[in-house]
Amino acid sequence: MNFEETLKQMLSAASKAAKGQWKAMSDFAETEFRRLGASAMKLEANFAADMLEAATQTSAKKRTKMEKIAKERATLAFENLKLAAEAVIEMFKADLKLAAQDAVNAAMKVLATSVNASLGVPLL
Amino acid sequence: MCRLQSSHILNCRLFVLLVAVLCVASCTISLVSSYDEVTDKAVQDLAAKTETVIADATTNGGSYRKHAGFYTEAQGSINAIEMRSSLYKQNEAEINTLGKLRTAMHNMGRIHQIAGSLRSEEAEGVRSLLRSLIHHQIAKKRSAQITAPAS
Repeated sequence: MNFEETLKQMLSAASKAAKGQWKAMSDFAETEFRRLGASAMKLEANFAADMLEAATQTSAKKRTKMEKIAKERATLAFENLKLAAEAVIEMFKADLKLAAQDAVNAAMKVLATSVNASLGVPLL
Repeated sequence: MCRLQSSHILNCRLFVLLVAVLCVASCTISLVSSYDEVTDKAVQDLAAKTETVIADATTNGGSYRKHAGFYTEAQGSINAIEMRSSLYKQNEAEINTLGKLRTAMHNMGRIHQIAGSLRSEEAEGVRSLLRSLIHHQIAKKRSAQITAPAS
């Protein structure tokens, strides 16, 4: 077994495996944060428009009801965006672990192949 | 006599080294639970049903009353997926995200109910949570291909 060559192949396999996961998860997180940010801006505009519409009502009862609905739907929708942003971060951390796991396992796979080739029997 | 002893020690060391290499090379590490096809499919099914309701509510003005059954069914689906996910070790991120999805789905239903309509941006939280779960399943699937033994 050529240890230097095996080591080079192990590092290459580990790097390739980790890079695959890293690219996918960083692209995903960036896209999601952009989408969530854009939605937050729209929610803000919607809330302002709803409150403005409520203010034009002549009936106090109707105005209060419309304001209450506008506040509640904005609060719930913002809470959902917050939950979604937290999930992106949590999944990013889990995918980081997957990237580390893939890097180690890809390197181990190369080592096992090399040991098997060196022994001449599929031991591992 | 001394040469025989040192040769014996060298052989022992080589044997220990060989055993160590074999042990390391034959094992794989697991930091996140393995890919589960049933969970993947259940998340995809829930996403498809959710998208149908969102499309009807945001473009056709589909009422809460029309879709009330979906919100109940969705909570059941989330609970069933969570039950399966909790059977696997090192799956906390997925379980926590399912908990967040349950809350977000309830919130979206409440908006639909009190406002009588749903805006696309009000559904974005639920959509994003479903995308996070789908993306995680894809990452697990990719990882399973790397961890699989060489054929």
